[in-house]
Amino acid sequence: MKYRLRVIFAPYLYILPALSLITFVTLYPAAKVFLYSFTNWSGVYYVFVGITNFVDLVTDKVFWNVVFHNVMLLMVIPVEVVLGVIIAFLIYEKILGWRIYQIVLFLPQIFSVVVSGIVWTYLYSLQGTVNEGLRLIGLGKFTRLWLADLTFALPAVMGVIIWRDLGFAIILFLAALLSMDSATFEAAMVDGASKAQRLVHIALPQLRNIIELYVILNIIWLFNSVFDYIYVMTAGGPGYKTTVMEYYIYYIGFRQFKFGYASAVCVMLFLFILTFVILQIKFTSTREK
Amino acid sequence: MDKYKSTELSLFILSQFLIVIILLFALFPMYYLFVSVFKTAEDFAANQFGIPTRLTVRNVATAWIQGKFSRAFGSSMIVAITATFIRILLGSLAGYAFAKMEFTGKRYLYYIFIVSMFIPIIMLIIPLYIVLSRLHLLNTYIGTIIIFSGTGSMGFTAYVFTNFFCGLPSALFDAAKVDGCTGFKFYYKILLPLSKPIISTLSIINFLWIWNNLLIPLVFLNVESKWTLMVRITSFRGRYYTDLTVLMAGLFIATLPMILLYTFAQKQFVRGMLLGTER
Repeated sequence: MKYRLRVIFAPYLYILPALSLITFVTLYPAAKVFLYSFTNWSGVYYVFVGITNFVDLVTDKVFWNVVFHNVMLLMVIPVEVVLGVIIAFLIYEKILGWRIYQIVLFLPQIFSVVVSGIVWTYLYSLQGTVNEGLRLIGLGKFTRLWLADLTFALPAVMGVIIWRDLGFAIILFLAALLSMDSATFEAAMVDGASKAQRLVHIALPQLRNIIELYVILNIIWLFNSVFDYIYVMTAGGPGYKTTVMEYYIYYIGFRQFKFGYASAVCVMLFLFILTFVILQIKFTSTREK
Repeated sequence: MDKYKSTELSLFILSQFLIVIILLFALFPMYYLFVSVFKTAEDFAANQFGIPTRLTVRNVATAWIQGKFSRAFGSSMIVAITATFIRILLGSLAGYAFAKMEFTGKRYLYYIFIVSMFIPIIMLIIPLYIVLSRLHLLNTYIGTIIIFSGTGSMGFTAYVFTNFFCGLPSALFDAAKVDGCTGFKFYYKILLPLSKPIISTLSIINFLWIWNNLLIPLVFLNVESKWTLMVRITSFRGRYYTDLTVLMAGLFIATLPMILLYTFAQKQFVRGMLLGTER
């Protein structure tokens, strides 16, 4: 009897520690956020206010601007994919110096977002490299305080995201190319297919799955893990011009202490991410078929 | 044929040109960081972009001592090592149960782990802040480590272990069973030694994620004596904004462990990064 009980309960004992941590840190708070989103919780007491927060959100111009900024951030994806595929392909084809490229282009990944963001803050400053570089090539009239510029602050942040993540894209696509059957490539080379033809007709179709996966994962990342960039580089400014959903939540929650309203934004963020997760699951399941 | 060759050649030049531009783009900020660290302030003022005319380690010393980076370094180590260890230990235990045992509700429990991977951390901070302050765990190492140990990365770690254990031949399990090696003994004596490669990969990636994280220590460990490196840097920047070489030295200190890890365990490092996409 004792033995049988042990057999029945043992699996749960193995899972329990991890499960309880996940429940305490992730599931319970996530459920709490849904609850808070229907209250005017400010840290002291709360009253249920129904869907007031969501009604306010819909009419909150700043919120929609913030969502728009998140959508703008997605523009880094095509850049990363195009450059990533081309460079991965060039490294795969052992372009002159490919070993150096393979190592160096990945390096920005080892710098934390905080470190990258601060270094780039200086590169973007008035006497920084970007402006000095522009002056050097005779484009001095384009110099500006990049991160304080109403139009260019967000693209400047996107530049840093690309700087840090391009290496990851390259390594990911390169790994996919290396795991493929090289026979097709060799056959194409024997047949005299040019480099461009090999890229378009052989590499691209084989990379299709991994590119689609990368795009969806990247959308999720750009919604749920860009806080550090914004916190370090612009603090959401100038105005709200670089505020993204994550930073908006932090700002409303920990600067204005409107926990209820911040929770409503959390719910919206969660719904956005959920949409992309479902897309991803759909996509992976069709691929496995 | 000639025309064909010339397009090939121009493509070659074009691609070589492109990749060099990208290389400079990737390299320059790192170069800027590293040369600034070893320049004197005067040297930096005189030539911002060149290599140092005279090497100095004073900036690193200033950041380490006056900037209290030594303390922040210790704090980051405590949090990152402990939380990584917990993630690996508990993740592998859960993975063992999911991969090699049968029990009711397994599917649904597994889904909980998967779902946790997709919940954004920013969503959790307000409720967790309230819960932790009630439990008097706010601004403590224990509170912060608990939070790091229960985020989506725990689910992810368990998920990777599950996949890894599922991939092991079941003959191994059967043979061990015959020898009376089951349960925890099997985990300890057979699974763990076999998992060395995956454990090192997961340790590196988890350590990196925790080390580089700003949001969690910013909210839950926000007392100066316990600041982690990432939090220390953001405050340090305000004070040393004009003293760029010292600030860069601080950034250098904060990145040093990653540089060492990448240098000595490049394969596991890269593999760990790629693991994140294999959901």
